Amino acid sequence: MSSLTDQGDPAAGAALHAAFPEVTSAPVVWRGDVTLQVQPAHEAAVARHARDSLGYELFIDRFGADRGEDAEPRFDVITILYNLQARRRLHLCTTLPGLDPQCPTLVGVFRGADWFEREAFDMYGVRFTGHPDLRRILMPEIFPDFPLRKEYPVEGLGAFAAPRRAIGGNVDGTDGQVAIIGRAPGGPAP
Amino acid sequence: MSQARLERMDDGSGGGAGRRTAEIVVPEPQSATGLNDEGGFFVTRVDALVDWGRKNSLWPLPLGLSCCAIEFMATASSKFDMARFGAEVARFSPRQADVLIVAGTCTYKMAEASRRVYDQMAEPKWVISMGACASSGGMYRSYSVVQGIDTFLPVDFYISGCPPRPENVLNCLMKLQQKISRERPVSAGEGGTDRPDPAQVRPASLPPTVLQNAGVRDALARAAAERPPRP
Repeated sequence: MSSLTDQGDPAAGAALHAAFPEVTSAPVVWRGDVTLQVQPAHEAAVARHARDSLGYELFIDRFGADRGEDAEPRFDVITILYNLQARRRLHLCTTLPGLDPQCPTLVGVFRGADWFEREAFDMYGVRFTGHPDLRRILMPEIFPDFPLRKEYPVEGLGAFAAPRRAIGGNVDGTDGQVAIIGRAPGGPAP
Repeated sequence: MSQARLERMDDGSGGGAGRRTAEIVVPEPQSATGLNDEGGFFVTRVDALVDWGRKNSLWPLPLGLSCCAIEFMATASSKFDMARFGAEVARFSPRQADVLIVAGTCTYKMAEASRRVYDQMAEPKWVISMGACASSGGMYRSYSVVQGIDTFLPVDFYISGCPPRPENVLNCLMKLQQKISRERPVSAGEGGTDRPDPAQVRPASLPPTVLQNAGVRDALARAAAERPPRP
């Protein structure tokens, strides 16, 4: 009980499933954590019930995940709630399609979800319908892509591509350009 | 006239034909005591005087973006004591700062703010790129990190290291002092500095922000045209 990975409450998960049998899956316990699959359209209602009736009042986290380009459904949006009295944790998971992933916002239930949803939008392109201010939060406004999607290279694309500056070749074995160190300001770009 | 004082004020370049010189004449006091036997005036070039003042009161703006800022704090505090070089007055207001020290990893989002800070600084101003990240992106070859702040700032000095030792930062300050002492701000104006004329540089290769650069915009448009439409 004292470990970080042993804070789930299967009874609470079962109670939540009993309250919404049509739109939630049976609770899954994995490494001590309880996860319910929730249909996106009903996530707010489920979260509200967990907050008001089951004591899960603290909003911990909400983030996206990408299962890969070929997976369908492709995206997950995972919400972590916490019961301060019982010291128990609850995971809600909604799966979204790879094509135009949309999910109703949780801001109406937990106002703290605001920036978390902006981050999930910024990184994965999940559009949270009803969000009051769905803008990018980490990347600049004109950034064209969703960089935590699996197909996006870490070196960037287009205007945000990092130039090859490794001396004597790149990590992947291809030839690199020799870095020009300390070039004069306003001089030719390397 | 004191020859020793003259040499100290001069930058050692020897002067030359065509340079404007100025004399500062201090009237000799009525020295009944004879205390002022060395003489009551000295001669120097205004250039040397201005350079001397500038290089010994470099107020830095520490733009601490990541862990290099911690090393800058060590440089500024008592153990390494940046005050020995007249640079102890760290100003977080651009209007009061002379040298912008970009210390750390600069992301694209921070690049806009960094450039704005630089634009708000009053001339004369210098830029030091502190550490591997600021100089080249460092180990972050990534979509989110600017690969060297010289893509949007006119950098005067690059400091190597990850992070640089405080001695290295102090060495860079001394190098900057040497550079300033070579400038001729009065006799030659902006042309007398090693730096390019800001009025010429900024529109061409130094955009107001790295992201509003016309070249970046075009590249973005090209990339958007080549990319298949996103769902």
